[in-house]
Amino acid sequence: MTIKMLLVLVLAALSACGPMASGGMGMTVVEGLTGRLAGSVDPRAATEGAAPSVLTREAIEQQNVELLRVSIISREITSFVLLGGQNGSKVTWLSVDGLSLTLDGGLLVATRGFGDDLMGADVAAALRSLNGGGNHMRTLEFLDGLDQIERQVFECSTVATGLETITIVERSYATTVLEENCVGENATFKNTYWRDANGVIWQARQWISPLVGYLGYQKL
Amino acid sequence: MKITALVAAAALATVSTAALADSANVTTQAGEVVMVEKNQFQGIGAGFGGLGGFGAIVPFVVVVGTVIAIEASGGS
Repeated sequence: MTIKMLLVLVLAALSACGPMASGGMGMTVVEGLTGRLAGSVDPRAATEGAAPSVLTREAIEQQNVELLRVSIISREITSFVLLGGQNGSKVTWLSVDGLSLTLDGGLLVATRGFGDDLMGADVAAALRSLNGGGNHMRTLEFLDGLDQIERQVFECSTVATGLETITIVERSYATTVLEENCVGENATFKNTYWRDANGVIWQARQWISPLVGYLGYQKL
Repeated sequence: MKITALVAAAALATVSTAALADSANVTTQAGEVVMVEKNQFQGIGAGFGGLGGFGAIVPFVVVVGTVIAIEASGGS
């Protein structure tokens, strides 16, 4: 294989990072963060095994876009997503390789690119339940084997399980821990939210779908 | 793009996966994992690597970068 062919392959691989890789603010942020968050951009340091610096509050505050740190727990992977857009109360977050997730008041209402995606969700009652607990219904939408939307209804119960001060990259938040237990015909799950006195969910663990399982996020 | 830049890109991809490999996960009080602290892509440019193959692009770039370096140095 010639060097030119290898160059083409490498460029193809690097360019496969989704639409945000085509330029603009997103990629500028990505490039800045890549350098800052990875610690060193000196290839010698990396190849010699030098430890990169960890994520700092200073590095986060220097970005001009909001970030979430997201873990896909079943895949044991963590990365960052950037604020992509807002439609009413729904906020969509994008990864540079084209995955997206949409939150409504901090509750997951849609994913794309995860495989067994959550196509949509009605979380209005779930959001209300975060204020005082109680029982509510939740509707989640998935794709069935024929690529048709399949709506599943869950009976849920939300309870506050305690107070917890969490630290996310050098900053601490006093939160109430809320657990939402849901039972459906085909699945059960438990979502956990760390919510401050202003109603902001700084950290959460939420169910996506039967095959993907849970994601966790921290609002940076 | 020069070979050195390709090697740098490969190194950057490598370093982005290295951090916090030994850190403890963030968990609920019941021990359920909330944030996975290993396999963390510190460099946001790495994205998730696509859920179909998390991290697949990283070893690919590293291998190709290594091959280029070998060819450039006249090795086989």
